[in-house]
Amino acid sequence: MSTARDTTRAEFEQLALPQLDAMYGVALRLTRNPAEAEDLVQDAMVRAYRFWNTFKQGTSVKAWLFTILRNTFINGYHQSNRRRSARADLASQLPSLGSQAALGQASAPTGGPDAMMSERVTRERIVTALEAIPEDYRMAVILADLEGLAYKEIAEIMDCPIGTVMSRLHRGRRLLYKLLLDHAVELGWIERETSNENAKTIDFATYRNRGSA
Amino acid sequence: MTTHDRSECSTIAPVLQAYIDHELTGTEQERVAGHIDACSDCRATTSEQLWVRAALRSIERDRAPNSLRLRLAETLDREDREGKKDAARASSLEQAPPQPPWGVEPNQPPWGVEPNQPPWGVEPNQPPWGVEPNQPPWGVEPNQPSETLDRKDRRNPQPVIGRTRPSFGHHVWGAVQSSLKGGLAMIPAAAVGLALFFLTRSDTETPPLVVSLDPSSVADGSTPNPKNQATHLENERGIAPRPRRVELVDARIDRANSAEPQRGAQLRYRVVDRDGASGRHVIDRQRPAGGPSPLGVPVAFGGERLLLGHAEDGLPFIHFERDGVAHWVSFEGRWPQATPMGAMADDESFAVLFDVIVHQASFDATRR
Repeated sequence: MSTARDTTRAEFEQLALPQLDAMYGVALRLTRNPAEAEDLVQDAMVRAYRFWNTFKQGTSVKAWLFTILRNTFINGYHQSNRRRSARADLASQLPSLGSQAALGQASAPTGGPDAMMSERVTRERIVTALEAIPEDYRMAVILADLEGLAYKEIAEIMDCPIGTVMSRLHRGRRLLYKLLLDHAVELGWIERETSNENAKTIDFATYRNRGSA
Repeated sequence: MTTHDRSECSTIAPVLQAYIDHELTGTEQERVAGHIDACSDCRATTSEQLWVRAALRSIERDRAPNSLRLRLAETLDREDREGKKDAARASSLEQAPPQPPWGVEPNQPPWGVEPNQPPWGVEPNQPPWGVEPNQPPWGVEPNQPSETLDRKDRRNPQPVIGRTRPSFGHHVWGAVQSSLKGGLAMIPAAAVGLALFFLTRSDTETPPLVVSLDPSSVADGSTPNPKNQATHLENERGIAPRPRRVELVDARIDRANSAEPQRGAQLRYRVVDRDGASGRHVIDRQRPAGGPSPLGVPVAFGGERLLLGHAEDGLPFIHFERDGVAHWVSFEGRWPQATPMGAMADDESFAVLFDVIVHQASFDATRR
């Protein structure tokens, strides 16, 4: 009797626990709050442990765990007021992020984001933007771009067709691009010419500022 | 500006996203690539998406905080115990646990941690010292009654020089196996016996070494340095307390409540092996001195009186009182953790606990 449990524990520690960082990373972006993220991961992992026998060996443990994480989040951590506050966040993010463009110096494009990304400011900027976009988009983008999962896995986790995954990804990234654009221009990742049109669509304050600057 | 057929965009659009994420087959991937080369609109969309993806991929990942790891390990331990309890109930082999004869309420740990919230996983309904009461605590084999000491002696044990045997490991292993079949753990007694042997011997044969971290205070001899004593143990008995690093991980105050009338505290230490590979956690639960003592074997160490014992689940513990505070030093979580069952009663585990006590004593010494 104890042997079966010990086997379960050993398997769980070997396969599931290494995903703890990834679980926490996703939870943090979903809850936008470290304490809540810890609670969420804790709940999800305990649930996963209880239902470990339903995990099919050989399939992606990451996808399986993320499914549980998402369900746990939706069931327990997902109140309607949170959704509303996400919208409010997005609305408030747009002008403040956009206004950065006023200070943007047009400079030669560099070799892409990699060179600059080590900066903490940049990381915070990206994280803030990520947390500002709607939850479904955010989840799709996190799973694809932070966790490197395939469409099929994302579709399973989010319980939706692959087409939906693609459109959420597309829109999510598009929103992020807009939110991050000015920062990117500022740091010279993106040429101003290509960015102007997009900047106009998100923030008029940018243009007013630019006029006075 | 673009030279391609614009109508092609409509056929590309459904697969453009899949192209961006490399979800297409080789030939499809090439077809879309060809279109993108010619079409600036699709190229802009693609580069936008790819840029965001690259940006996200480049950021540093969050790591789960240690507090979460510890908490999770603790919860899994609890899950395991509950699962085991259920299994034991189902097997209907359950026997009523023997009442400890020394009068501490059996359903409470010595200082009555609230049963619903075992702070670091003390089995709530079991006395954490859990030595089989019918066994003399220094582990005389039950089938050798000539060596069994009576109860009076148990309260005031004599040094048991030379009692350990080469077959100790086998005996322990047998005891572990039998304890897993539903009985109370009997091995602790044997392990305590072994530790007692080492420690009392060092205490009785050699005057306690009194050295301080600070050479200037050696003369007055007021500051005991258990570290030296540990070294002595190594030379004498091969306990080999390897140099480990002891770090204080966190501390927490336990509030008084109905089950626990007095405030207490818990200090959590991480003991890192020399290789730095593994770090076991040791909890020092502190309560005001004067409460009931767990059943253990009294041992003199560094000028202090310690009680060594094993909890119900085999966790070795050391109990002592210092400066009006009772300490219950034990490992966190399930026991044994990654170690094979046979190593359960190894005196090495006590050595880790001693390291923590030594660390505390050294710290106290530097503060004086």
